[in-house]
Amino acid sequence: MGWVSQLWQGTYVSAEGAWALIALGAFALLFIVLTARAIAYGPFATRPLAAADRLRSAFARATETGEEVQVALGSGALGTAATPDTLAGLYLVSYLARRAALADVPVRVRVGDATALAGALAALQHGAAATGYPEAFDPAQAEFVAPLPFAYGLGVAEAMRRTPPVANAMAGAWGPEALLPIATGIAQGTPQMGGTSDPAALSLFFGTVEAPLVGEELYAMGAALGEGRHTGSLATQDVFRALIALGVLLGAILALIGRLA
Amino acid sequence: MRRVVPALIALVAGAAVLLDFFLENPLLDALGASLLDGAVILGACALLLGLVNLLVVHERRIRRRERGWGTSVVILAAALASLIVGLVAWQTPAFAWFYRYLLFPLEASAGALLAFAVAQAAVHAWRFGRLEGSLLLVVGLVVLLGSLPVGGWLNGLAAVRDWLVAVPVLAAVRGLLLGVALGVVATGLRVLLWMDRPYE
Amino acid sequence: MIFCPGCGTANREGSRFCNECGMRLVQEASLPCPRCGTLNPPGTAHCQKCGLGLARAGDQEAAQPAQPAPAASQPEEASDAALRDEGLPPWLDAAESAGDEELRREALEDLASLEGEAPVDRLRTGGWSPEAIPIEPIVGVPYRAYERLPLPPTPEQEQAAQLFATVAAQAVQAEPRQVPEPKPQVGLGAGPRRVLNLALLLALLVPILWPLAPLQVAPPVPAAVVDAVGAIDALPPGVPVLVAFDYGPALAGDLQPVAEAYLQQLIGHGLRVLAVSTQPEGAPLADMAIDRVLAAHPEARYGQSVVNLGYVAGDEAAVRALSMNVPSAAPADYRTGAPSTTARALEGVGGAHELPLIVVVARDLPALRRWIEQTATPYGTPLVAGLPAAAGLAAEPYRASGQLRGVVAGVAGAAAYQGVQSGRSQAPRGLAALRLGAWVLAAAVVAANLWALAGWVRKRGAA
Repeated sequence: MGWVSQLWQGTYVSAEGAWALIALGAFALLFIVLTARAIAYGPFATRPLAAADRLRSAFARATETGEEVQVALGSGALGTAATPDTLAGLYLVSYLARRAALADVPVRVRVGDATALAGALAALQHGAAATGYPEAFDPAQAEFVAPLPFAYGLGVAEAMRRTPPVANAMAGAWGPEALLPIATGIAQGTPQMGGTSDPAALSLFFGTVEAPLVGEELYAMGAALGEGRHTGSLATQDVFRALIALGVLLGAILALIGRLA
Repeated sequence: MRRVVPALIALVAGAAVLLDFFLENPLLDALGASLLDGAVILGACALLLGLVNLLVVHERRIRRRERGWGTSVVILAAALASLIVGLVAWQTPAFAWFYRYLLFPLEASAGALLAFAVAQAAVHAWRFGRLEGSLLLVVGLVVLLGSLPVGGWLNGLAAVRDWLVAVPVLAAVRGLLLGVALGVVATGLRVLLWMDRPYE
Repeated sequence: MIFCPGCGTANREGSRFCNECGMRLVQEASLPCPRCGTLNPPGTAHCQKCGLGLARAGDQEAAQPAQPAPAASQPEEASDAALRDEGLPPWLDAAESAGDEELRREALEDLASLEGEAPVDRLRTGGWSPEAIPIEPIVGVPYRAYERLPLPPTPEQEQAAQLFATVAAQAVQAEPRQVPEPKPQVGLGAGPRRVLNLALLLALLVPILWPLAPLQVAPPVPAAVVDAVGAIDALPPGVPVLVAFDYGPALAGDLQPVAEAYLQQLIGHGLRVLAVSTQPEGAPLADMAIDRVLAAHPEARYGQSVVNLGYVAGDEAAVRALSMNVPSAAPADYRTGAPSTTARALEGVGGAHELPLIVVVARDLPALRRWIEQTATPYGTPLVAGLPAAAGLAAEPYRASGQLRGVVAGVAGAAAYQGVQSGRSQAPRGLAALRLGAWVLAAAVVAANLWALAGWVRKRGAA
């Protein structure tokens, strides 16, 4: 066990690091408890998301018209800081893949990164297999457009012009290049929904797409589309958000008192 | 067992990299660095998957003579040409020429197109009538005209713009970033604890 | 209504897939219609699509085709088989039961006893009138086709039949003309869009081709730019500074002037510049910027004053590796291919977090945030940033909290930066183009709103 004590003695953690670890530990604990509760006793109540409703109605329309539903995941990769945004987009893909296999509706997933392509292919394949229609999976449903963000945005816009989709869902790591397919969708009158976590790029979604996903709504799409256990993590976020808001308010009051004194 | 072993590996690897961020320890540093290097190599290998997908999708479009198959021919030709040049003429003037006189102008043109897309989006979204559109209209015009004043009353607009940026915009961006940070932590925990994988 | 076996959602009769979950509503074990092939749920009496009578459940023989009812048959004499073979729509069949048949007979008997003449006999004497149609009993059993006797056609019916015969006799078009469905116009129409694009193009081109002095007035210098200049001025000569070129050619128009402005100041102050990129397309852009700046500073030498370490793969992993040890994360000189440790500019450099300053010119906030998260926050390394104009606002929280010492945003920021350094009061032509473009855009937005307002006033006036 000498190496254990050596390991312990050689370890250094700063004060900020220690506080961050404690906060992370508390978050993880609450997360596990609330998620277990959501699994055992049913999901927590959540407010409906306009984007989720739009997606459902677009899919219903696609079952009648046979037009494709497009999901564009942005240029983010899995395994980088863009992973949460890309995963949020993959929840959409997984949701659509199951239903598309049953109803024989074409779904087209367009990605700007090869790791996201692997995730999309897996989501489509598993979605088809889970519904008992593995033959419904077609590798060409997922398309790697281009690795550079603006080339990817242009490629998605061009694909929409070539084959207008019944709806365009843009959820993932997007930058200013998002405006290229959005502008195409506006000109075509295509219903659009989506969002990203970058505030600068998010401002482009607001006001241009019918149902934007603002901030952490992007990460709540899983819960809005029926994944009940996701509501546990949403509840955890709500608790910590309330604590942060209280802390900010308290700090502001104390600063005001200090300034007045 | 088939699901438990990968879950354990993911948990241990993720925890090691996470702890490496907060703790300073030579062993942990080395472990974290090698895991990150492995992730980078995996990501590079995924590029091959992307290339294969490109070939499959566009070859099918050409074979079936679907709409836009001519563009697919150009895409395939360009992809193969740049791959060959990159493999054969790496770090030579030929590759530099490829970048400077082909890729650079094309990408720059794509970026320039954004100006027209922004204009269309602004005219579409900044509409008086609905609350959101009206707010966007007023604030958008103030920020647009106040960002590059030439003097006169535009300087007054610049002062309003500076206040908007320093107070409400800053507060809103902070709120967004905080919410996003919480969402990112939650998503990371869901992946680490193997609670959710949308690709399954 | 058909209820989905999967989610329970009510769907319209005749739907083949559930509108909610997409599940197929027609089960595998189905009755195929011998006429149209439609799969019908087991136990269906008539095909849901064409109405052909199907065999009862358990009887797999094909149903007989529908036969017209005998002209003189009485309702009382119609057998059950004849009823089915008429090919009635399913809702009629569903509406009927044995009890309904009994009620119908009783009702007709009642009518006959009231009028003294069977309704059918009255119809036979001619003189068709609405009163001759048997009145449905109160139970609401629907009137059925086989009860109607063949009557001479009315003049209106004859006219319709003649029209039909004329149309049917015409030659069939092999490829009927496709009339495109007009899509609802959501954005600008094609005409106004072209006008807007042309106006914007002229607004951006004209100031570049013909300098417009009134538009080249230098903008006010933001505090963030002053802080960035001050952070570099405070460094003693000869210390190494890392400059990250984390953007691509698409945003080079916005960011290359920012990067060159930073390089001008760094090299002009005698600092050693280590150029690196975590984007593959950033390394050639760094080379281009270095060439331009070295041309303006002949005293500086590549390899001594500045070195391009090229692309380091891995995004956050790359930044982490550079934070730990720059030479091992970037082992080769991008321009010469020689080991990076041979470059004098890299002498004595360990991890990036130990450097006195890091300059990050990033394409967006996430690209900048990885440097903040991996170096500025854990180690307190001073950081200044260059961002596109749109992302500059989003970086304000980091500047307000001290994680960023300064920010230079876009062409305007670069012009302000150069103005602070050189003392010039005139901005470059690109800024004039930006200004004019912004005014054209503002005018277009106002014009669009006025047009919409005029339309609304017209509608209100008309109403």
